[in-house]
Amino acid sequence: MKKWQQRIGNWFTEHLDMPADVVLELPRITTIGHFHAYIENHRGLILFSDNELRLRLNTGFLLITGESFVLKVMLPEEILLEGKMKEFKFIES
Amino acid sequence: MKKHTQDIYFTGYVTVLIKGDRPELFFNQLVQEKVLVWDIIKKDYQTCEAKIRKQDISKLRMKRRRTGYKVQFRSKHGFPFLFTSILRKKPLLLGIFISILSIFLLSNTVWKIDIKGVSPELEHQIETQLDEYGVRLGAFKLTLGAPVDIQQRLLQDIPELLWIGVQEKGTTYALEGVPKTIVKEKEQPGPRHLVAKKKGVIVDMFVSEGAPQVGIHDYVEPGDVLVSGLIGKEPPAATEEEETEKPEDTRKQVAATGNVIARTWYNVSVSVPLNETYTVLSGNQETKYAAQFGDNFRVPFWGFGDSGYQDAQEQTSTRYLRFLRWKLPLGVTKTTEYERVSKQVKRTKEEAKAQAVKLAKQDLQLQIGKESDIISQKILHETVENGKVKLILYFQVNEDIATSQPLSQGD
Repeated sequence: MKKWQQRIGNWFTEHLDMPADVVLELPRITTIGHFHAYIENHRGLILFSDNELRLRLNTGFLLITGESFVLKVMLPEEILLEGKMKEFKFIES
Repeated sequence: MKKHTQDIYFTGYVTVLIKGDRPELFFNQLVQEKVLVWDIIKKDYQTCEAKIRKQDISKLRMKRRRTGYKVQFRSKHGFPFLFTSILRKKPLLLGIFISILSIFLLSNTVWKIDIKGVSPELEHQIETQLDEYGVRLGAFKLTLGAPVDIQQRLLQDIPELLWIGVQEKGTTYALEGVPKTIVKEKEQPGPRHLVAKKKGVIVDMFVSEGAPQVGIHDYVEPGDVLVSGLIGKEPPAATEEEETEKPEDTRKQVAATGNVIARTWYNVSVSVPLNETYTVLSGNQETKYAAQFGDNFRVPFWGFGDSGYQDAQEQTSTRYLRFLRWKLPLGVTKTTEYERVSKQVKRTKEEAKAQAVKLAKQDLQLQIGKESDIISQKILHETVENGKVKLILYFQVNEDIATSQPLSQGD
């Protein structure tokens, strides 16, 4: 079922030009320089510390490392991270 | 994103410390409850600092109960907390209260009394009178009478004043007076005669300037020249012809001045009822004070109950409190009730007659002025009809009948 949904979603994005994050429920990550990261469509916070943020995604995890992290805003599916970012890493589960 | 935290100052927010194992996970749960969390910082391995809105505190407490986390409230921000903290600071509150009170008191204080249009002596007199009424610098305005009352009292107490306007402009009383007589204008009258204004027999003359044309015991008609304004040698011809031959008139023109007292006559008819009912103020009065709210609502606070007067005349005046330049819908209403008593008088015919004579004399004296004397009186006719005594009186009066007439009038 899920596979099937994803296939239709893929078709939509390819042929109708619809944004991938909406159709496929994928995270959208917006960064401004290295000090702001805005993550939408995540599935929950797993770990947060001064130099690490770990988020659950639909298809695995997102790991952000850096320094002096602050969560400026936290909403059910959105997070605004502030600090000095060094690495964005997607970890497939 | 800033949107969420923009008006937060007005609703208030708190900084909380979450302690426990992996404290950031607690926010996951909070967020599910639609709790807005921001500025999350990880202090150390077991501590997280975050900010939440004031109205979310109860949700936070509820959530915490089912977990092992510990919540510490660090600092409070925003207007509601500021407000309660101000409320807790008694000296500050007291200060605010005192300052409002003093503004209020000062707004209701007389700061300036401005007197215009009168001479310095009269100004001083007015000031003294005002001081007597309590209108002085620094006086509390609520205890003073309305400007109209002050005006009336001033006019009554200072006879030199013809009119005075009393205006209350905020904390200033502006008075504008008009003195009654301007003596200077009288000083230099033009050349004139003194002529009689009514018929009479001259009894006394005092002429300080001009040529007397009549003597004592002379009978004069209105318009007769009493004292001429032309002095000097008069040619033997009659005055009428004299004036037609102008070149011969070498007489000096002066302003005739003097008093010519003549005996004049008056017929006065007067009637006095035998039975009369009239109302007078007994002099008893009762004053009540009430707090005035708005235009119509009053709460009495001084002087309760009925005055007990059967008939009364009521006088009400309202003074409103002021704050800076605004008139507040709060004030004090002073109501004074004067007792009115109706009096019945029954007179015998003799009493009525005496009363009628007295009345007639009073009336006449008013008519002819204070300087004139009533010499004698006589009852010419008396009737009693419809319960009234009707008299016709004859008076003899000594009065000044001289009135001035400018010389140029004849030309």
